[in-house]
Amino acid sequence: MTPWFSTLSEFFAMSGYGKYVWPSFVLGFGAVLLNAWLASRALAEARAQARRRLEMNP
Amino acid sequence: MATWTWFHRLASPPHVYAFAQRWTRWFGGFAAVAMIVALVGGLVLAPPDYQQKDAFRMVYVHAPTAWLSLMIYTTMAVAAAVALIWRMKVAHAAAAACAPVGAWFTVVALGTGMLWGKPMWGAYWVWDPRLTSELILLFLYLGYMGLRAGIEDPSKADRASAVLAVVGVVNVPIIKYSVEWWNSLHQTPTVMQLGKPKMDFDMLWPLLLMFLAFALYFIAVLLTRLRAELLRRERNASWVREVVT
Amino acid sequence: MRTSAINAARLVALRDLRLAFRKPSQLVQPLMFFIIVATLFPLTLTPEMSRLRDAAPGVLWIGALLSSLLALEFLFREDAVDGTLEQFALSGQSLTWMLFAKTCTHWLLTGAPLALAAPVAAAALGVPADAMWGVVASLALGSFAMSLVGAIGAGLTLGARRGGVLLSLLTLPLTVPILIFGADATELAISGADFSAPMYLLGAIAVLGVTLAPLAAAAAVRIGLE
Repeated sequence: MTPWFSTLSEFFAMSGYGKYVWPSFVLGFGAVLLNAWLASRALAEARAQARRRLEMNP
Repeated sequence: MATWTWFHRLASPPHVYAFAQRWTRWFGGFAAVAMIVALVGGLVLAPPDYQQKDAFRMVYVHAPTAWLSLMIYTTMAVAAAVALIWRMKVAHAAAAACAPVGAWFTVVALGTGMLWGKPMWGAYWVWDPRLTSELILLFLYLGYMGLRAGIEDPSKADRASAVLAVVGVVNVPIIKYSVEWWNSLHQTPTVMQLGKPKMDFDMLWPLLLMFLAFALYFIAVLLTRLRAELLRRERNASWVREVVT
Repeated sequence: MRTSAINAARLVALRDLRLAFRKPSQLVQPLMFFIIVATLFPLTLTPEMSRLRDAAPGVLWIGALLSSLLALEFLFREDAVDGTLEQFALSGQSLTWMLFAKTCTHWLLTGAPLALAAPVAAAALGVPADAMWGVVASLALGSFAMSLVGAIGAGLTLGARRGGVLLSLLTLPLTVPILIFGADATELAISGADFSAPMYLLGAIAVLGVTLAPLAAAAAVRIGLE
């Protein structure tokens, strides 16, 4: 199990395609993180709202 | 009948909420691990492709997101159909929860497709059948979300968008077929496949693992959003009290 | 007194036709829109006939689509507003059949005239005379399919704010297959080739639409009316 690259700069260059490969991974996994965060924020807001309602009419 | 109790439980918001609360972290955790392993496999271990060199590695983010965008739409439509046929509130909530995630991944599929297209075909946008179908899928998502937002009454919004989702999903294969037909008429000589290159095992296993990772991830996100939806929709129910205090 | 679904549909169709002919000016409007749109393209593209002929299928079909979207607003709106649609839904007759009848008359009043008038626009775009039959046939079949699909959107947006824009946004992606096959048929007709293949596909979509669209539209209308 050896990496295909020998130096780190080879890894980042991606045989010249680096400026396409890296942005696409950032886009893809950025969206993954973003959606996870948006979902948990939606849940947190829903919980907070529910709590507030219960406090208003116990 | 005992066999149907699981189905009836599926219709009960507190039950579904409890299930989601319990299992989300597992789906999320496994998804994260799988993504990291697949990333290492795809970015570090897999050898470069003969033709596309290291540009092929974009398959590890483009293919799963494109597949996910379609799978989420199908899930949304199935949830919508279940909601219409059996009048299940939980199913309506699930459909609503799917839409924003699906739309995001459609955007990512388009973006990564464009980033892959530029080095391969020389242009950021080409009217390739897959990209074009993906664009239309984005319009379908936006139409769904627009219809939901445009109808005041929540119950009507649920049911109207459910009908739209079902009609849309019937259309998706037709649209795909028609776009492929259209593209074949105007086929340029260069092969316009956003190709998965011929993959040997070293390149393939990270891709398959990535698909699995994204599927698990989607379930985790869906369960989270579903919980939020259920809390919002059922705010006057007594089970909500138990859950948030 | 119960009557058959088809009879109810026939009565709805006759009613719609009668009402439409009381205001003939309204009938002409989608047609005028189509002609004007077709005229705008040469103004914005080029006066060169050969290039216009290349663009003709696209121009004709987009014009037909926009005109159809405009006309779809009126498919259900007046009847929804004055309560007739509600009466249809409550009547115990098949709403599916009645909406199918409404869609058919809608097409007879908007799509069919458009297809028949298309040669005028087509000629202005440099389409040769012997292609006109193909132009009319493809637009007739395609506009029928568009009316069917559009009826679903019209039903869904009955209860929505700014329903007109939303209707267009919903309907446009669903009409993509109709546009693709229809424009292909028109294109082949213009170049004098055999255009039966895309016509069959267009026909298949129309058949699918006939069987499923009124059902979906009825479901949508019921939801919107409550």
